[in-house]
Amino acid sequence: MLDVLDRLRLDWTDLERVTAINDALLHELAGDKRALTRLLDRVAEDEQLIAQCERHRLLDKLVIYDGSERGFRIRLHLSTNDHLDRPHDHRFSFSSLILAGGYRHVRHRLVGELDTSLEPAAMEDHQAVVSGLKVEPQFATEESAGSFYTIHHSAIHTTVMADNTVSLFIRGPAEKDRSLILDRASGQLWWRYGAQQEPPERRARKQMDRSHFELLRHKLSVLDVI
Amino acid sequence: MSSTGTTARDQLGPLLEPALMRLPGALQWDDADELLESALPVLTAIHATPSIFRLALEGVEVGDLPLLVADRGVHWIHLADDADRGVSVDLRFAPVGGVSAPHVHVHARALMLLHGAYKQTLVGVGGGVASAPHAVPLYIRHEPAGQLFALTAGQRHASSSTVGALLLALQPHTAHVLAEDCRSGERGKVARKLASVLGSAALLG
Repeated sequence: MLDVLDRLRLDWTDLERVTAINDALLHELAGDKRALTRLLDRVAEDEQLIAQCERHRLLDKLVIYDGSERGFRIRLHLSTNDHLDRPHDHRFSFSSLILAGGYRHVRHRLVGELDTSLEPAAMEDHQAVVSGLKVEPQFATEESAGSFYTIHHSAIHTTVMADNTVSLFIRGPAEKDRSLILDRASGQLWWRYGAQQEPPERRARKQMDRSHFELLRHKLSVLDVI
Repeated sequence: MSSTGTTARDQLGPLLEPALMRLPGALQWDDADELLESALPVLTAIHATPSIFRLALEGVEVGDLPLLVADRGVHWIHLADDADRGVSVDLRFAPVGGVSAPHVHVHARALMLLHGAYKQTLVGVGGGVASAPHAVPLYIRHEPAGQLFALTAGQRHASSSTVGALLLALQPHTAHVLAEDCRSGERGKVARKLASVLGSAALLG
């Protein structure tokens, strides 16, 4: 399995084709607990990988394989116990396979004109600014273990997760310098940037320490993911 | 008509009532999130009631239930109308696989995939940062049996399936599908295929 990853090169300009590849790849990886365990072991040994693992309010992200130079990065996502309805887009397109738990997944239509000059430094929810934007839910589904999908970077969606939801996630290259997050009720907006563009204090706050990494590794074992 | 003198359609109304009673009131057809939230317990309850599917099959076999044929060999089996609650309950049956180009529906729908599988692509203008001004594939999904989802009328989507699909649908009771009555000679053939699918999906109890 690791040999396959080392040879893999993904072209995200054809979303249909990359979806077919990712479907097979993520299912194979999810079914190979030894390979997943080995990838997590390598994170613990690799300073560059562990430095990319992050803690967020709604989600913890473990980067388990970095093939950025070949068009992809593989992560494990674990939901926290905080669940909020925050429509957002991403800086990259991605595919996701749900391994445990589940969530309501909603695709929204954005109503209003997005003004990308709005307070570019707003990177936290307490810095959110009035945007005048609203969302209209046009598609909703219940994702559960086994669900698989691909999302284009420009799609605005919400995932309100149950506790202990785990996803195997493969992302493509960044298509833009930032993405948006909205508070659904108020329409207030803030931005997410890539690691290179974030202030050092925010990076430091997000970065996962080893003790939390080990806690998550134990949790993945209890949830029978590895 | 059954031996009791009542049609399958007559009997379906009371059988569906306990499921439809779970609706919270008027459905929000223009909000897929709210629509799914309201429809989910109804679809789940119908799915768990084999007598509904047995009667649906009987209704197709003997001609008690409206059976419509739409494009690409899709059949619509109309189970019930509930004007008070504003809801129509239908089965959408595609006995064989096929490809459907991107399209929108005139009405919103909440659906449960009872049998089969297919790939669904939502198409549109994303709306996020650096959105293309034109519609692109936004969301490519592989739907397995058991999947529940809701679509508003404006959501463009495409689908493809190699194995066909049977879906349970809630839609506005005023909904019309672009279809024509199935020829009486075809009913038996559709009923046999439906019986096979309902049986393999363990929906007949």
